[in-house]
Parts: sequence; structure tokens; C-alpha cells
Amino acid sequence: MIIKNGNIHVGNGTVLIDYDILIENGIIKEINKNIRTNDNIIIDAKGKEVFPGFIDPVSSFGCTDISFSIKDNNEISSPITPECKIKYSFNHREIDLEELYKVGITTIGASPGNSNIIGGQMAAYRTWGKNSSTMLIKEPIGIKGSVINNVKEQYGEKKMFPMTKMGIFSRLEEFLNNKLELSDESKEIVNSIVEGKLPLIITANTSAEINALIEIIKGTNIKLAIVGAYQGDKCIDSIIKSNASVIVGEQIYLTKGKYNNTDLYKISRLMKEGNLVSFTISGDYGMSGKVKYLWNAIEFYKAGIDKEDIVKIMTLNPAKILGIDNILGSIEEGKYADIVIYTKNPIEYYDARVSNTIVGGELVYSEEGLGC
Amino acid sequence: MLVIRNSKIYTMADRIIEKGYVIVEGKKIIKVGDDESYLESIISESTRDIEIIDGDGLVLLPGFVDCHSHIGGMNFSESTSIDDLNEMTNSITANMEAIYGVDPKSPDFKYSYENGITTLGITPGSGNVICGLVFAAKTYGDNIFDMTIKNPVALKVALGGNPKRTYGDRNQTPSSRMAIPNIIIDSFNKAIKYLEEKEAAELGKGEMPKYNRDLEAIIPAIKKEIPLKIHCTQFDMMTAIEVAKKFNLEFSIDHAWGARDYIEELVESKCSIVFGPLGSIKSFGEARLIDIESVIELDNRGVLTAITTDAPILNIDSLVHHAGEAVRSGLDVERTLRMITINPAKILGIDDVVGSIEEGKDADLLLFKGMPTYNTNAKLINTIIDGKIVYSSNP
Repeated sequence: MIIKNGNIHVGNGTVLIDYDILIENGIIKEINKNIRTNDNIIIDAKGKEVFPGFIDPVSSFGCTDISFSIKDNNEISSPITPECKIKYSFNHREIDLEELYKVGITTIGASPGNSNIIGGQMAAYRTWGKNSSTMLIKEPIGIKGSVINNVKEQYGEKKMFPMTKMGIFSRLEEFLNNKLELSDESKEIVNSIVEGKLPLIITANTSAEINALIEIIKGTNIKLAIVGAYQGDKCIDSIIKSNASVIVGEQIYLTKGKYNNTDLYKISRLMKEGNLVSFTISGDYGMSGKVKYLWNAIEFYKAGIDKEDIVKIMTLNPAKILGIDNILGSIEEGKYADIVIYTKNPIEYYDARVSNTIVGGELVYSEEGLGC
Repeated sequence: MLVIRNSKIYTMADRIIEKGYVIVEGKKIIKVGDDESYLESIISESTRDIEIIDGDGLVLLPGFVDCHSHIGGMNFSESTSIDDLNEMTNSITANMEAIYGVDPKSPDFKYSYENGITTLGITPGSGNVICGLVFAAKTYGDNIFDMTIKNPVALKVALGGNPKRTYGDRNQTPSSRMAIPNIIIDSFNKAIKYLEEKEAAELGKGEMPKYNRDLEAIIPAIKKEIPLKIHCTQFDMMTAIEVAKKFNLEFSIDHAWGARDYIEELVESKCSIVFGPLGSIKSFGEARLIDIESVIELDNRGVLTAITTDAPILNIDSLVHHAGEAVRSGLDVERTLRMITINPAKILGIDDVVGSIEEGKDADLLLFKGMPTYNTNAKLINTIIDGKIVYSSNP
């Protein structure tokens, strides 16, 4: 397959005007001007905007649903469940309902929810594929946890531990210091987190929660990503010092008043300090519909952030946070061919439409239909 | 006197003025035009102070209207969220007035006018079958009764999952969709009988019936003085049409997910449509199809159509994102803007005062840099409500 004459937003801030992308065996083989080929699948991207497939780094699509009838993303029998693997909950038929690839999201960081302090092991999945097995990209890619009120609602309200923030943070501290009675396998996981091999991806919303989290990992090699971070703008200095990544929670559902209007400009300035910034369309209680992916990107644009920086926030940064940037997150030779082509830049214009989505080198969506 | 000049004016009435002015006296628009010599004469002849805003390169729009919101009555900014708009103690609470559940000091009102929404239809929630009375208010002010344009503007009714869940979970009726229409039909039959007895008694024929607060609240809908505002999606829309037809009522269908399967029936029923919110995940049941593209076909077929955020369920400032999705689906920008200005004003029955830039209407105006619903970063420069500048963006 070859994509001809597109404006290629590489994902690292660079834009290549009028370039071709040659794809072979699901991999980007060459990016250049006027590539000659005998390929029979030619996508004319003249005047169109070509992006790496977008990534939502924290998502429970496939593992739960709107009515919470599936609820396979929270193992609520204990607040510490590092042995739980999200891959056992991922149903490709469920994620397929949302057709995330139709807005250009091609990868999610499938993850446990927010009910447990340590919820379990994340996995990277494609948003399109024949079945759960072919859609799996890599696992485990991180350990997902939460220190927000959901944990207290799950346990404390039933008079079980933890009932307080004290309980949450002291148990998290014990876990990270390997002081809990865990299986050997779980102890290995703790070691991987502490050695910085496996990122620790924790939902924390208020500045108090974020600061407490940062205090706990101080002096360690732990690679922390803070999810939600609705008040991250109110504790920027400690985030800079901690070198933590930030995955901003979705900005449109029930959130504006709740966390006093997150200053996205301030949060994005973290990128200048070397912290990775991304966003998710998941909020405290789960995922949003796909239209909100672009709306959240637009919220960053409205806050005054450069549009190529926003592309980074949607592609390369989440790939780096999840440790899959060697294979995904930008349009570069040797990486997986996960690509979305828009008629115009959707960060700038509401009338931008997806004209094609390519996942693993396969054309999975086309505005005109897939033809034969 | 306030004059905004040199801007492109989308009146949402009869015309788009490429470069024109609006003259505001007190709370009202007194002149809209592009005759510069007339404007100069007004300015030179005036003996009083005139505030002049140069809108060169900017777009002037009427204030946005969202005709289906719960702002001020549901508040998620507190540690425990507040819901004063669902009196879920009886499936029929027709006389519950939303106006009494609303706190004008909720920050959501400020978010509204800071993002261009100047008028809201504020409605009881959908936890009951006959939920209560809807009112229309401006978003700026200290006293909700002073902010109110009209009360009531509609009687809210809910079909489907919400009332079913409220009462079904208590093993009370309605616990299924089968029971819902009869609850409405019974109430309306009773209200008709009650009205007949009242009218007869006033003529000295028979006794005055015992006062019934819920039936009193249903009477304006029976008399077609106000419409029903019916919360429903998909096949529940057919239930709505059947019930409304039975009593020959005016009605709007609110939310309307799945409308694309029912276009013919909706057109024939002469209802209006309030579409939204978007952004829910797809799922079995009511959220199977969230088809914003339906508003294009409905609009083409002459159905009065508006777009809603259901705020504060979704942030009120996402109204422009919502409308932007209609543009993405192929709807013309001017027609899209109608769905967040004049169309919802018509649905609320307040289009004589708000919803467009016309002489005699309230001076609710928005000055934008860039075109909202087209340029994603269109920036609101000023919000004017009742002739007063209530918001100015940072320079």
C-alpha cells in the first residue's frame, strides 16, 4: 500500500508536506517524495492531513460498558490486585461497538478501572482486528492503580479498608516497598515497578492526591504517570520535580465544576520541562464516546497550545508513556503502519472528516466505503 | 446607548450582514443595519454617552440558547453532588416547578455566559414519568426570578429507562416500558375531566372539583398553552407521538438518539426535536445509536431542530463542540448556528424576545473572533446580556 502526497504530521512535531508513505507487511517501509511502486492499493492524500493513529493511553473499552453490567475492569474483592491482567477481560466485540478507529484512535492502553489502589496489569490493544488475540499489541505495559474517591466508595462505604486517604496511601506505600504478603509473581511485579521497568499509572485528581503520590515515589526510580490530574495545574512544581508523566482526564463530562476548571495551558508547559503530557477520554467512572477524543484535543488548542504539540499529546507522548514508542506513536520508517488521514486538520476545523484509517497496514475505514 | 459596528452579523433572522452595526438602547436592540451614514447621524446627534465597540474583523451573533439543561439545579462542584430537579417520590409530579430547584449562584451559570450561552431552558430531570414544569431564564443575574423570561414554558415528561429505573428498582410501577404510557394517559384523561368540571362549575353547573395540584399543572398543556417536553430515544419516540396525538398536544422530543430510523414519523407528527447530548459511549439499549447526522435530514424536512448538551451532565461550553459535530456531518454553518439560537428559542416559545438579532428583541449578543462551530478556536470576545457587557475576554 502507498499513501501519496499527504501532509504528514510525523508525531514528533515535524510536518512533511506532500510526502508519500510506503507500507509493506504492516510496517512503514519508506517515507519520501515521489516513491515509485507497483502497489495496487494507492491512497491519494493530496491536500489531506496524515497523522499517526491516535492513542488513548488509559481506557476500559472492551472490558466494561455504559450500564456497568460487564464490570470486568475492577476486581473489587481486594484493593490490591497486582496479579489481575486486563487481557482476560478484553472482549473485541465490546470495543468494536464504539468503532474508535472512525475518529482515528488506533491504539488503547487497556486498563483496570479506578476502584482499586492497585488494580492490575495493563495491555496495549489495537482498536480494530479479527479477535482479542490479533488485536493485542503488548502486555503488560504498566500497572494501573487509583487513589481517588472511587476507592473509598468501593471499600470504605462498606466499612472495609480503606475508608480514608490515609488508608489508601499507607497501603500503596507498603505495596511499593514490597511489605505486603503477595505471591512471588506479584513481588516480581513490584520489583519491575521499583526498577522503573514497568510504569506505575495511577489515577489522582486533586493536588493533595497528586502531591501525596509524588511524595511516596520520591527518591525511587519509579516511572510514574498521573491519570486524571484535574488539579495538576495547581501543583505544577512538584510534578516537574518528580519527572512524572501526566495523562489528563476527559474534560467534558461532569468535570468542569468538580475540579475547578483545569488549566490545560499550564499543564502543557510541563512538556517544556521534559515531562510527558497526554490525555484520555476516560474520566473517574469510565470511558466517553469517541467524539470526545477530538473535543478534548480542541480544548488543548483553545487553551493556546501549539497544534503540533497537540499531535504529540495524541500520539508519540502516550506511546512513550506506555513504552510502545519503538513500534507506535509516530510516522517513521520501521514502525507499525497505524495511520489516520483527515480531510482537514481536526484540531483546527470542526468540518474535518476522517477519510481513511489504516491499522497494522490494513485499510479498515474509508469515507467512501471500503469498496469490494 | 451601545453601538457595535463593522462586524459581520449573523442575524439568525432574515439575513447575514457582511459589515454592519447593532444599536442597543437599554436592554433592547433598536436598530440593525449597514447604512453607515444613518449610524453616523445617530452618533453625531446623540446628546448622551455612547459606548462604541469596533467589531471590525469580528463576527456578531445572537446569544446561544440551550433549551434543555439542568443548570443550577444539579451541581457536581460540591463534594456531594446536588440534585434538586428530580422529586422521585411519585412517578407523577406535574406541579414541581424547576425554578424552585435552581441556585443562580451555581458556577455553571458563569460558565454559560462566559462561553456564549445567554439563555437556558431549565427542566426537571427525567426520574419521573410526569416530571414537572420547565422555565426559561437568562444566565446572568443574582435572582433566578428576575433572570426568568417565562415560567412555565413546557411540561416535562420522561419515557424509557430513567423512570423505569427509578421505580422499577423499588418494585413499583413503572418497572417496564409497558406501564409508562398509561400513567400519562390516565393523568391527562383525569385532567381533561377535571377541567370540564371546573369550567362547568364556573357556569353554575355542578360542583367545583376538589383542587388537584398535578391536574392543575397539566391543564396548560391540554389547552396547548405550553408544549410537552418529552425525554425519549429510539422507539420510545413512537410512544411519545402516539400519546401526544391522542390528546392533540404540542410537543418536543428531547434527546432523540436514533432519530434517523424514524424521520418520516417525526416529520408527520409536527413535533420539534432537541438532539443531544453526544459523547456517551455506544452500548446496547438506549445508547445504541447517537446519530447527530439526523439533524441534517430533520432540518431539511422542516422539523424545528435544536441541539442540547443536557448541561451540567456535559459541560455547558460543549454546546459549540456539539454543534461542531453537526457541521462535521455536513450541515451548513449558518443552519447549525440556528440550532443553538433561534430554533431553541422557538421551542421554548420565547422567540419574540431572544434567539436572533432583530429590532425590538433583547440585546443578547456575542462578539467572536473566528467562526464558532467552524474554527475550533473561535474566541468569544464579549458577551452582552440585556444590553450589558457581562463578559470580556482577556486581551
